[in-house]
Amino acid sequence: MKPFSRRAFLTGVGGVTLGLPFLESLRSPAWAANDGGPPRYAFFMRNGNGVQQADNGEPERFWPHETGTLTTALMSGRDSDRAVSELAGYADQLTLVNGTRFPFSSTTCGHTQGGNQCLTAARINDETSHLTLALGESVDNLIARSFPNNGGEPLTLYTGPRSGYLEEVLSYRGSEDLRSAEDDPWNAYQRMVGADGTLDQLLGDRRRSVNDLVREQMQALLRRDLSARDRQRLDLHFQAIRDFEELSCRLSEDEEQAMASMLGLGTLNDNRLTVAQMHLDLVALAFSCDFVRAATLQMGDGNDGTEYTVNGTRLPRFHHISHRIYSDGADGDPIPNADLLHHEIDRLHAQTFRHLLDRLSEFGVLEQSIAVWTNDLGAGVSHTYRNIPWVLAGSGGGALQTGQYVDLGGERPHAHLLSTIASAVGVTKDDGSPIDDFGDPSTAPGRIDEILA
Amino acid sequence: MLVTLLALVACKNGEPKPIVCTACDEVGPSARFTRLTHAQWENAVRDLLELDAAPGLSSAFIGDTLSEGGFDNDADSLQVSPELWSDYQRAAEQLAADIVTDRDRYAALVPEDGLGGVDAGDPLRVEAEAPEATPTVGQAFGDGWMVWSNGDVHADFDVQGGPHALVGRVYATQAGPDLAAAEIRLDGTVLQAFDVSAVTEGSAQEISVVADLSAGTHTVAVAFTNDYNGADGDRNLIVDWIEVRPLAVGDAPTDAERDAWIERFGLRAHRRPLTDVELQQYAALFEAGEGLELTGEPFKDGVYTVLLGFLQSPHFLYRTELSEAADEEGRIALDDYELASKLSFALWNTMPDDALLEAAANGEIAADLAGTAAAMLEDPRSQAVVDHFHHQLLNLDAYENIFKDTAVFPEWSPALNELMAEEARTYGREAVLGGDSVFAFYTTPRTWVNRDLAPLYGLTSTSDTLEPVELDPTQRAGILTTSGFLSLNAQARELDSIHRGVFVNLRLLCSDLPPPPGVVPPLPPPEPGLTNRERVERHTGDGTCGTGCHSTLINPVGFAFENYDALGKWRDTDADRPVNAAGKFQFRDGLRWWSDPVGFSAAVGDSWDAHACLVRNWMRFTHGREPTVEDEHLIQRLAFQSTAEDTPIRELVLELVSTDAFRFRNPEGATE
Repeated sequence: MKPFSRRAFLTGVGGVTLGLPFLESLRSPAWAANDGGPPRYAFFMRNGNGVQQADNGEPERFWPHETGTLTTALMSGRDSDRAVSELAGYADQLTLVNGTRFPFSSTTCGHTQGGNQCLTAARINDETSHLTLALGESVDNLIARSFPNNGGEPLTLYTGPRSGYLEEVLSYRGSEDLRSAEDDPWNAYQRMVGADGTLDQLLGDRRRSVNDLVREQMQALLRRDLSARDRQRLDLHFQAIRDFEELSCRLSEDEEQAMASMLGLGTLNDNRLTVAQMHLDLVALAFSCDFVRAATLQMGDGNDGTEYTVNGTRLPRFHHISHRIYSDGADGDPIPNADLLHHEIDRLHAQTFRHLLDRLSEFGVLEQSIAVWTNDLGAGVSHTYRNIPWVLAGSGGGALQTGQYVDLGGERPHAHLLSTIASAVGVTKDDGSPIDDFGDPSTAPGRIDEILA
Repeated sequence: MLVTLLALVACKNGEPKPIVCTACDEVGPSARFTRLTHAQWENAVRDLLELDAAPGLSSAFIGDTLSEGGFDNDADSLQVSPELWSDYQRAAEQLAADIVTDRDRYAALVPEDGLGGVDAGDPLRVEAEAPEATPTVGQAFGDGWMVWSNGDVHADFDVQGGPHALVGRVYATQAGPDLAAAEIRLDGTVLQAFDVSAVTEGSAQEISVVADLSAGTHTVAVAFTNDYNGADGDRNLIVDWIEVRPLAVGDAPTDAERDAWIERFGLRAHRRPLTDVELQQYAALFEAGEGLELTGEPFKDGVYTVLLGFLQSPHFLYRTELSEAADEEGRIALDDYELASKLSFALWNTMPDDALLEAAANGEIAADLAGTAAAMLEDPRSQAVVDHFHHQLLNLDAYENIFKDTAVFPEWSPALNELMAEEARTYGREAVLGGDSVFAFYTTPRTWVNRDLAPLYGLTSTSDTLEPVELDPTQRAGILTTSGFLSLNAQARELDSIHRGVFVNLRLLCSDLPPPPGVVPPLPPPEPGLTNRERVERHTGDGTCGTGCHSTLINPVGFAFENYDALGKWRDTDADRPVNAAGKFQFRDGLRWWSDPVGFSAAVGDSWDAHACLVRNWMRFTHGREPTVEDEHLIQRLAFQSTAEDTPIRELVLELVSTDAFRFRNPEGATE
């Protein structure tokens, strides 16, 4: 089958182009009326299986050698044996935060409980496997819904493979309300740009007429005596109906072609990094066009079993490498040099994150964004919830003191970091003050003053 | 065993009743709005719009999160998020445009629109390679004319005045990123542009547009507009012929004809008769659409807009249960239309066909639910549904990422993965539709192989397609000894006893496995010369920290497969010693022992656990929800029947879709 070309997409299954006149996008810059300043954006990329850092007797290969100021020269020289050195070119935009912890210890699977806490800082229910769910919304959801003129929804992306065991863990609408993530960048892109990046007036009128009918029908259903679950289901659908949403900017034709050619192949093991980069292209585009205020990319499922190829060699499953043995559990033959392989995978992930920073810079929105790279776990073997890697890039329009590596000592709840990021991109409490109480109510409010400008 | 079971199935009033007490079944809470799965959406669109095949557009839809029971049709995991709403909207616009711009499909779907074009009089045809046709560029090619750069083939036609269809039969050699683009032009004016996807003469497509022609001579051209010649090939348009067909001139459809169409189409879109309010809503939408010019024909524009409405209506996108009247026992009986849809989506994965809707209109569904269901399971449409069940039960999606080290397994290539999935689907389909019992499902020494799969079983085959084979009954028995299950739950080189054991426990025995430990203990030193079993036992068996689950639940089951290597091939030795696959397992109805994999399969097939678990999974799948405590009696009753009478699986499925839990709704609504 031929790749799904843009032209084919625009013209419908029967191959007939409808002759619609060209009109400018109806989308207006929403932020101007919303919060009065230049828009700010937050992005979170999450890996699983921890990173290879000083833990369980292994040497440090992730963080810089010393806390304090970061420069390109220091990171590419002194820290060249560390995974974060891959980001040396962005040293002055980085904020590396060590010494936080997830507040709720693992009662079942460390991976899934870590992934579910990662952006929610919420308690986790006591179910197992894919039924393990967070009891609160995630920070990307909070940020997105704080800016309803941008659709109020985050962009939620995933790069496979999927295992059918643990899948999405990252983005929550609310307690136990997990959001689906998109595997295929081309699908996500089509949703962003709409039919042709433009909205014809007649098409707009027609959509409104249809939407009105659907709304009427749904309201009639909602007037019935419904269980809470049925009502929630219909409410979500009802709220999803929009009268217009189009994006006036696009990727290049070459990028569109490359993305279209990956359609349906996003979950294949060997496409992991390519698809991740395409997703990151979309994130940069979406921010540069003010399409969303928050986005996430989940790389792999809870026990990410991707088999990476490093220097031409296909490695064992990442989850096994993170355990240092050929097993998802505690028994198995040792994988030689597994800690070094884990470090190489950390570098691959850092390079992937760097791709986003390149694109955000190219689009001119890195400075007003906060792009975050983090993990379900601190390290693989111990499954620790301490020293979670938090790599931040961009200052959120000057809100963060960038160009530094801080170590908070190990006991700071990561909820404070999430509050810091949310407040940096403009989320406030009801009284207008910066948010400092994100996450489970049992966590004392606070932000991380050490990284605020 | 009987005593235990009777205790399990005490009736609502607390008195023990015989296990055959169907009246003791209760009705579990369920959703009133079950969104169609993406597969159901595809099939329902195909049937509603009378397409030849499912449109395939849902591949661009956002996926759903994993459901509790692992099946895709659990109402609780099916939501319409903003992403999916947008996907539905775009798909509806594509589908509706496709209908109104395809004259034949439109005429079939909307016969009320006389203007839409019944042919009247003989068509005038000019072969593109004939002297009557004038090409601007290209050469004769097959039975047509190849336009090899931007240009056209045109011909003059003498016509009577009135509406005509201008038609071109075309295909293309495709290259570059886009499909070949064509236009139909009338007297030098472009009427419409088309993408040409057909690539062979045999499958050439007709592109057509309707135009009102004045009497006299007109030039009709089929043009090629996006020439391409690149490293990947040369894009050309081939025109077979051009035709001008006079159309009947009818009166514009009346409001009554419009309403008749809405009513008829609405019955199939909502899968029940429209209410008066709904009819008025769609008629109003139709009128709004008539004013929004799209095709140049107001009635067609109205149809287009109403199609958008139907395709985005909650009554199409969800299987709804609107009945609200409770019977004397406080249960709400689903009406005939609701039952027809519930059955149809459960057994055919699509909307009810006309016969089912008519049976519903005549009140025949509730009156004979079992008979209706049995007839539906006989229909070939049930095959894909049975396949879909096993695809999900056996996690066949994961097969695409099976990977083996070809230094150890030179016979493996990625192409083998899909064959193993097809083998498993075939095994399941033949077992259910062929009348096998649960016991036979787990014990029959049979599978389906082709030339590539046969060597995994020590056989040879020359067949390209999968064919049934009898297997060595001392080495193979049932679904658990098929290649895919054994390969998936294995590493690139070594087998993986733990995951084989976990899968069987969780998915096929419905065991209550506690979660794996969150923290991995320190690595023990490697000890060469141990068998796989010895290595695993050393770290997870009696006296280790893995004692709890591993030594009693996971390991015994996993070790039963020690005779199969990481690609599922039989082996007699491990580390130069005879394989030890013997074990024991505490099933819910008693301890069973075995000495080899075939013995293990027999133990599973004989166990209460396997029967109850398969019934539970079929209930999840046919009811589209997670069984609740109210459903336990039904599950236990059917599991008892299955173990005691060796009931065919298909009979269990039929019972599940004709029982009270299927035909009634619990008034308390969905689980909170």
